[in-house]
Amino acid sequence: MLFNSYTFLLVFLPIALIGWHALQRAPFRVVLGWLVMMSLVYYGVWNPDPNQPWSPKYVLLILGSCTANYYLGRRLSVLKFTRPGKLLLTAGVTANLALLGYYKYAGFLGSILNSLTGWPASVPEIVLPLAISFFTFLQIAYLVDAYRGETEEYHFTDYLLFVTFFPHLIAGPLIHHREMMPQFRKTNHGWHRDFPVALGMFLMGLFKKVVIADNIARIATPIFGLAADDGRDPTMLEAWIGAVAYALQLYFDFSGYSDMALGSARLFGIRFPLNFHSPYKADSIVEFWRRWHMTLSRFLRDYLYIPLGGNRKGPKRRYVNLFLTMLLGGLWHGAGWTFMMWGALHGLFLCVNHAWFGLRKKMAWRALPKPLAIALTFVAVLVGWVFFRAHDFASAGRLLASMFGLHGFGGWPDKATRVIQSAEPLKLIPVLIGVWLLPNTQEIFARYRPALRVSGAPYPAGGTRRWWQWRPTKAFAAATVLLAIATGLQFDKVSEFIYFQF
Amino acid sequence: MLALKRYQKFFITLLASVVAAGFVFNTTVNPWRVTPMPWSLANLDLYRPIDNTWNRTAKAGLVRSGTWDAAMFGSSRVDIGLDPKHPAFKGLHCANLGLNAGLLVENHAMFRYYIERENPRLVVLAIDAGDISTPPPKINVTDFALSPLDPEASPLERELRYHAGISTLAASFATIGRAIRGEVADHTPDGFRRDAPFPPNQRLLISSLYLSTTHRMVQSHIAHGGLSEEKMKLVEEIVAKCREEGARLVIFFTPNHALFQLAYRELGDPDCYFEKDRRALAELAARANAAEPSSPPVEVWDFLDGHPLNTPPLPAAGDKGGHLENWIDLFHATPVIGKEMLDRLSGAGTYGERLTPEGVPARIEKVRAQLDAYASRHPDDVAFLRQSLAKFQAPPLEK
Repeated sequence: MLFNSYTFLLVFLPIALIGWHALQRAPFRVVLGWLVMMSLVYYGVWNPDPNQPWSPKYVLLILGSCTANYYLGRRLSVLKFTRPGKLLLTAGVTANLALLGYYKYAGFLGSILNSLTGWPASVPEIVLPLAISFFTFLQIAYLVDAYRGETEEYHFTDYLLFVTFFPHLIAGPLIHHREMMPQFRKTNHGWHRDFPVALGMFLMGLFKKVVIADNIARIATPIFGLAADDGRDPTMLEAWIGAVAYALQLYFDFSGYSDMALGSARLFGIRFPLNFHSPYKADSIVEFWRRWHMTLSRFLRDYLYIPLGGNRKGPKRRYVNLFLTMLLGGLWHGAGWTFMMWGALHGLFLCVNHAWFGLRKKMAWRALPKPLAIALTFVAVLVGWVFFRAHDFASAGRLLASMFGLHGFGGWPDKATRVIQSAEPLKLIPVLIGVWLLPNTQEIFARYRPALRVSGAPYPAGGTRRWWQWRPTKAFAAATVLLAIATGLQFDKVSEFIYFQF
Repeated sequence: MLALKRYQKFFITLLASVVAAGFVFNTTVNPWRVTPMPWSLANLDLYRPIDNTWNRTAKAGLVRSGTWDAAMFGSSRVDIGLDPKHPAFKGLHCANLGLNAGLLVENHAMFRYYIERENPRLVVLAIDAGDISTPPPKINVTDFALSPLDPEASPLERELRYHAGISTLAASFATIGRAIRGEVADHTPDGFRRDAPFPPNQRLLISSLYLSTTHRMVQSHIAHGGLSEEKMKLVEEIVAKCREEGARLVIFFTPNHALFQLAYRELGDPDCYFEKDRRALAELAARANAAEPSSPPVEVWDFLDGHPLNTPPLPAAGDKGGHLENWIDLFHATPVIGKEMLDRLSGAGTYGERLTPEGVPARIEKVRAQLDAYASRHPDDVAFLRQSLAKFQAPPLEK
């Protein structure tokens, strides 16, 4: 069930909210139980193959995973910092990774084996259960923290809600038990403190997704399709437009989703951690990763980079750790060589970036002018996104070759060979301006603490009050209505192609 | 705090009112005919649209809202050219279910949707040149996935959109607006396009949009090089279902202007006369007829040739108001030619020929000779064709 669907907006969400309100006077665990039940319904309606009857196996999988990890965590908190505890933790993490590995990577590994040895003859298709990457990471963090003695004796219902709470379940943010559990127990402080902010954030997210990302997809998709097909190579201009369009599409799609997740959670009085903070305003790759998918960066830092040794074992080891962390981060995104390449590239970028910082400090050089640094960072990120989006190395290579002039310095192609109409790329200009110059959702709602702070990452400044920061006034109500209308007009829009006039 | 409370109250009231009012308004207007209710206004039928954006939804709405004992399926060629009020349908209530840019995969879905609800006596299936000899498209950019035709879409999501959706609301307002202004919709209540105007500067449009599309079609046709098994299976299913239901099935192999046909030859397509398509359709019909001789015969009528109706000359260079006689472009014939096609249903007319397996070689020879004659009659048009096609093969853009 998508946030931008009628089923969610007109059926699921109202029922969940009505039930939640109706149970406000009931014991708080009953309320949490209601949210768990609704979350399992949200998860359960997913059917990977609509031609097959619905099966409960994926609901049972997530429930089984939660139950096993919950009891494992409880045991680990008893055995904290002991050898049996370490063994149990290793077994638990391995079991979680094995489950993820089976569903997500078995096919990929099978195909590698097949290409190297000819065995196995055929690689069975394994359906990837929805959200398995997210709920596996969430629970690995819980197990590690339990072993470190950083968890409490959570109630099973609380734990279930922490893992399955529907606003974050499918695509994050990757929440942490320490920031969620206390919120589940807090008393109701009045829905009016949450609803207006939640509505605004949800609408902003919906706008980003429906109006911006989906429209820009109509630019990016045909150009990446062109690079993947057997026809002509993209021209230089087309390739840059395709790469920029995809960078914007991905940002607005994912940050829009995160805004909707934050808004949905806030409807139930829950704050999620900040997940995006204007990443394309970053003036270095290091800064980019403090602003992009911040909760994943936090997870990778706390549960991979630091356990690997972080920067505590010398600069060489630090670079290796950085590279490995990003490589595995790439693999987490998808079982494929292009994702690994994307991760490896970012690992390399981070190493170069840290080395540059070190060199600058040593030589007492001044920093690059900020616009130049932002532009350089953006180009590096674009190169990464080409691998992230491309079907394979060949098409990524074709697009990058076009971007950097290896296929000539062609401008906009002849009308007959165009894959998108000539006016379409103009849409990118206001979006780019918005990305670089306008405040983001969290900054707009900063007066009402829209999200939790992620340690080590930037957070919208709350001190200085700006005229554009949301307040419950008539002007902002009118702006919200306009935003809703603009989103509504695009909500069901289907794309048209050039030969569609008949 | 008070301001927050007021804000909250305003938006909850607004949201609830919009959804409730939207439901009532949408079902009253029923713009795409997919939400017929006892209170839906029947007198809005003339104003209900079948526009490009919601073409599949609105055509499915026709099926959902009426009883049709005859129907025509195909692409925009059907939508524009074939009038369900033609005398050949006398005594039958016929719907034009042609879909804009509709290929066989979607036409099959439309047919399936129709046959699950109706007991037809006559079905016309129009197949475009090259459709069954190119693979199914990888992506669908129409409203197919939002329409009742998509078996994989969520019915709940779809019905919520139709009943309380924003796009439905926009269509409802547009319908009411037309009714107030007294402007009838672009299609008749039986699905036929009322008026497809000749475009200004038709010559330029043909040399850019239509021949570039043709160029792409030829490349795809050459690359595929044979019949699409998947699509042939869909045609077989339609034939089998019509036989099962006792419905007469007439397959039209649709016409295109001669320049479209010549483009295939000019670009070196080894099957530039669509022999594979013609043979496959003729043999399919012959097999079906032989298997059940007592059922109404499956007929295949072939209109893709150099008949005088398909070979009018291009408007002169610089003549921005001129147009091909009875052709909106190289693909779409006007209802004048459509009438000639439908005449064949009642055994009348001289346009097109009935295809049989043994008649295919002679038919190919005849088409070749007609196109040769056209080329020698209009060398300027052929030069225009070559010049236009050359634009799409610019060397710097080729691999």
